[in-house]
Amino acid sequence: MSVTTARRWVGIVRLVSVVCAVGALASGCASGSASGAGSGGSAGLAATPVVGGPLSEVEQAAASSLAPAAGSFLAGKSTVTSLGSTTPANGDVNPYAIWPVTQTVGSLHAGDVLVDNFNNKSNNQGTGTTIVDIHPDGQQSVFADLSGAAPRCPGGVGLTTAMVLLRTGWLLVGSLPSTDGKLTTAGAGCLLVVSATGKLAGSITGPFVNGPWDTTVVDNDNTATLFVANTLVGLDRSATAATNQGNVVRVSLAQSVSAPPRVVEQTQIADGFAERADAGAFVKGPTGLVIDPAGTLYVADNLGNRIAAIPNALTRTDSAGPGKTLSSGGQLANPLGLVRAPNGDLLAANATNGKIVEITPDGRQVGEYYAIQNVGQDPPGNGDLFDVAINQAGNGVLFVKDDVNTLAVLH
Amino acid sequence: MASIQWWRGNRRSLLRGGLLAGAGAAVGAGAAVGAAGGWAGSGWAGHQSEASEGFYGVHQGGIITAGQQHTVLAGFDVLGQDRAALVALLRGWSALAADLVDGKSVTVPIVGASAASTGVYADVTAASTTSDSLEAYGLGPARLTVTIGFGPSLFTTADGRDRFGIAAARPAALIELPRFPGDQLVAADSGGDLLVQACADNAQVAFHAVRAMARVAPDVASLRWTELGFSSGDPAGTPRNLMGFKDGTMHSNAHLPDDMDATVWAGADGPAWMRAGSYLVYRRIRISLEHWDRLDHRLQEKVIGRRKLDGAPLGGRDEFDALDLDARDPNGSLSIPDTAHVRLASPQFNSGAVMLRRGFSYNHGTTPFVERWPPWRQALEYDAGLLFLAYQKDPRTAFVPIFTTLASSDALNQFTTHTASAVFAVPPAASGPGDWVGRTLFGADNPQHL
Repeated sequence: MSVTTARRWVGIVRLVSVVCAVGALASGCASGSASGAGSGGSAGLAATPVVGGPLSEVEQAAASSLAPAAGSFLAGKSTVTSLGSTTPANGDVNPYAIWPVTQTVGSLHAGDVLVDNFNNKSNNQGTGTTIVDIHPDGQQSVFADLSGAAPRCPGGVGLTTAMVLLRTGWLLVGSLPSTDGKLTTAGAGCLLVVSATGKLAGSITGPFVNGPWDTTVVDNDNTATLFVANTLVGLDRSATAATNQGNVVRVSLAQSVSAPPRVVEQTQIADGFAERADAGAFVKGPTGLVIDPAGTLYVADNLGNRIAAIPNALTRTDSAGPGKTLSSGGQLANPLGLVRAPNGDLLAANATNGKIVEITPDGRQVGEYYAIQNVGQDPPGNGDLFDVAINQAGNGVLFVKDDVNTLAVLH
Repeated sequence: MASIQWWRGNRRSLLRGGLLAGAGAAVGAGAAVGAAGGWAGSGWAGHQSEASEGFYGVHQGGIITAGQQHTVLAGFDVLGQDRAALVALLRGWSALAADLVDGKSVTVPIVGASAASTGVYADVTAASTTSDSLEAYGLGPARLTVTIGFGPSLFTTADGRDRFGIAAARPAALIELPRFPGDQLVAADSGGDLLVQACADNAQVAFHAVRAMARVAPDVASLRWTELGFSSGDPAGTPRNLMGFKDGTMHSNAHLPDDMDATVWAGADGPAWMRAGSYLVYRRIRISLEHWDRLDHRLQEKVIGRRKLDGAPLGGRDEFDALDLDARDPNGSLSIPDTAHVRLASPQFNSGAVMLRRGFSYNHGTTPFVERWPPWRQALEYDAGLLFLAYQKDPRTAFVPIFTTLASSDALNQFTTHTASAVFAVPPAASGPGDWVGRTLFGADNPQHL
């Protein structure tokens, strides 16, 4: 489907009668008139929506548009290419984290893209155990199957969007596990340490790892500074749990090519983010993290529908609370994944529609692209995006399509 | 009846010699009930549905036969390695099916296994009754068809062992399907060495047929799975599935492909024993009706690529208009979207590949379900959908390439989940009384099976 067609479908249950009246949805109205209520009086197809009234905020965010401004990273990008399936032979689904591999190390080759899965074949969230490697030719292989890591990770294994590959070849990946896809069985999880050949090398646990949902890293080879967004802090294990204790922890690591990373120090540098159990989405809370060269950490505050800025993230010794709001509302719709584009702008993946939104360092929203328009979700693309990354060539946006379990690139 | 022998432990001979004196005559023949049980005269006495589709011919019934309103599908596991018992079973099945298709009430031709039984009734001392269970008595033929198929596992075990001396005769087209993205297959509901597909305009007639055939040799072939399906029939034209759309406008038993020899019937390029047969791909497809019902019907039409009420392709005027995959609406968008089901399933999109579909709906009520798409809802949902049955000349050039495309890109995938799967070689029909389905593979006149 074309972008324009899909955008018109947004909120169509609410809009279609109005749109048809002004003739803007010609094909849809034609089919509606052929099969609508009253055509012969025999078919009970509704010509008018059951629910009337103005569009909700969620519907408005999906239905409105913001063409990428000249000079923005999204400007001129209009082609989405599928790069490969993210479902391995064991049936894992729901791809989350994306890591473009830029150096050849272990069983990884520059040009590969690593993607992990949050669900196993039962479809239950918090049960996926695989990291797949999408090769440049579109073939997929399993880089790591971490199902055996369960004893080393409180609650088991369910791989999240928290995944970084260090230059020493060690990979860290978050686990936020459940046994049945419900928050009531969720464990605190851990960060699993994986070798460059995909073998489990250890795990990082402790009070500072509690539902690790996303990470970003400043990598200095034998030391690294890792930031972890925790989304289970203080959250009851109930279907209606909600609190404002989501946080971000800075973790100093030391490692070498032969020695896996160990924790040297850890400090909470932000907190006060809303967290909530969700019957569909499992849990919501602070998610995407990215740091700029000046040391400002940006946090995708999912429930706050904002991008928060945490100054001096590499050095501060106290918590900045929920930080300063860089941008909120507008085209943002419960942001998840966050990445910094080569031009310095931030790209945020929306949870409640299929858009990727571009935001300048001074907080202006300068464009969006409706990357997933699947009407199987309402509004189209709702729940289909998660992590976003910049491809190795620096000219495209990698994103996962959770609806069809594939990795794609916008270029 | 002399009760004294009962107490002396000779119940078996007593019962066999007394109560079921007529059973011996019935074995292998499918004798009328009246001949043994004294219930009724031979033949059927009903008048509700006298239409018979017949059992004998060139192609088995139940492939291109006009759609009936009910089906019962049964997959069987063949126990042991007794070829003679398997042949006896197949002969018994054909003889019985021929009478059932004609609406006759007959005894069941029981076939015993030569080896010790491992079935759950192995401990009983009484032989099975051969009496007709009679639940279809008087209902007439109801256009019953009985279709028999052979699964890949009948030929070779998973580790490649030849089970009945027929491994060399396994057609190359009788493949194990690859795993497709999104498959959530339940192994216990999938596969099978043998298939019986019973279709009829009366649900009880269809069930009775499978029930009777399963009784023939439970020590030789035991039920692996069964499915019950129903169809709206065609009083209003092409039948509708539970999504509310017409299903089978193109290439179904309601609207046959133009060249059946090129698309449905096995030909000279495969083994001789399969000539005039076909290959069946069965998929049980759960449809999330709750999810579907929340989608405006105009968007449903975009997902399918046809109008819901009259079945016309989007951009067309009539149900039977050819699909115009290049047609655009006044806004320049494709009339049939690029992920629409009919586009991706069309011969134009699949190098001309065609299957003959013969779908039925199924409904298991409600069960707990975890949806396989965001946001991964968990709820008690209808376990209902489609029993997809597609006959084809060769699944390697029809179902597999078509569904490879659909599994990755079909807009319908946000509403459907494949939960069971099987493939069967469906051999040619028995030619007439005395002949049997499977003779071309197992018969003495075909020792080389080729």
